[in-house]
Amino acid sequence: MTDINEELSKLQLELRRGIVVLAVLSQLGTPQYGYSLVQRLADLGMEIEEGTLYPLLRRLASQGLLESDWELSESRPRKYYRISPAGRAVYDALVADWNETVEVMAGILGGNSHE
Amino acid sequence: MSDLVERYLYQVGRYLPKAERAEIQAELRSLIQDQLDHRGQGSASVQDVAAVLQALGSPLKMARSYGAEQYLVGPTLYPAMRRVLRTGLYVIPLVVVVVKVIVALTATNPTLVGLFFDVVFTSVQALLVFIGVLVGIFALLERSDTDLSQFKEKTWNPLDLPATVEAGKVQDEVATDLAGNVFALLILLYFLVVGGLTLNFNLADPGDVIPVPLAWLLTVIGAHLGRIGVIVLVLRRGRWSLGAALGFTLLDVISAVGGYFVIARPGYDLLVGALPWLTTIPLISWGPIAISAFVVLLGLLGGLDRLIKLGVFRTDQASPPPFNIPTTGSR
Repeated sequence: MTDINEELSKLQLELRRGIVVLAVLSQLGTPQYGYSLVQRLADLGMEIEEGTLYPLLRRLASQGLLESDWELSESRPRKYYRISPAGRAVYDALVADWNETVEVMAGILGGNSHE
Repeated sequence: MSDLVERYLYQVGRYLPKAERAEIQAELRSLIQDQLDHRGQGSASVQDVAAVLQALGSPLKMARSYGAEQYLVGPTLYPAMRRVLRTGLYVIPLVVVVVKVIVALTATNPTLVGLFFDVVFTSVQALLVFIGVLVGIFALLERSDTDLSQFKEKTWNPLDLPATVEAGKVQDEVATDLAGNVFALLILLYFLVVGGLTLNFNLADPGDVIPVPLAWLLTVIGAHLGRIGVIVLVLRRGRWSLGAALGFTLLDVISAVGGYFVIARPGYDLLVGALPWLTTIPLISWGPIAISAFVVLLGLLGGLDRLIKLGVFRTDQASPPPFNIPTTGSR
């Protein structure tokens, strides 16, 4: 029999996947490097594993949603990410979706859940 | 300390595409250093480094997160490759049998056993080469700049969906098989009673009977009884099982081999006895072997078809997601 906790972890991961993208896009109005973004999101209550976030930033950049630049003037080279104009448009659409989903789910979970 | 980081980055790099390797490694190096600075305030211990790397995940996992999972043949091309592969699995053994029979007919001293093993070994060899070459071609296509959009799923219309086959067609095929086997069994039993092969179906006067080897006749009758048993089982269950499919194929092959001794060879003798001029046709004496080999092949292909329908070779059994998250405009 499948371990229920393992299944729960998978479902939670699935549920979080899209939310993490939204959270990341929301914080990149100002340029951030990977670790500063991890900390910023953690301060706001969202813990993200570095191993998940760093590849995600690169993927979003390759999709044109983020812009990136190496900053060489600091103590060590760092790659900074910020939201691109296309990313901004996608972010706005996602926020609208998110608000709608939250509203729908509130109705579903609040009204017709298990008694 | 930095040695451990470099060892980690090297291992991650092994799984990354060459074009992106250096930049991803540079970025990871910088990010790991940021984490170490945060932990150790500039003097991170080996334990700190190990803990940071542990949290990042194994090099393979990290490389995979960067989308570095590479396919020999990806999901876009795989269905097309499978279609070609499936066709080849049917066609190649058939071509081998035809070629080998022709070669054997022109040989000076061919034997049936030799021909059988030659066909089996050559078929296996040809199939392995075919599979290797096919996968190689598709792997090259996967890595080329070819526009793969033509292989992607076309816009589909639900109204074009074909009728379901499992419930209806399979039952029809099985019922036809049952009728054929019962009919053949009756004829074989007649041959058993009259003691051999004859075309005069009259128990009181069977005419000229060509004797057939009793052991082979009983073998073929047994194979028919076995097939009838399997068919009845399949009809009762409403579906093929792997055991039934394999058993049926084995009985098909046994029946076809026995058919050479019981039907094809004596039938040829009967025919040549009646029409002696037939022997003047070149290679005619190889007719019984060729026909029997073809029947064996048909049995094997039928078995392969059943296994394919059973999904034995299916590797893409993707399970649907447990639920769909509402998307834009879902209300």
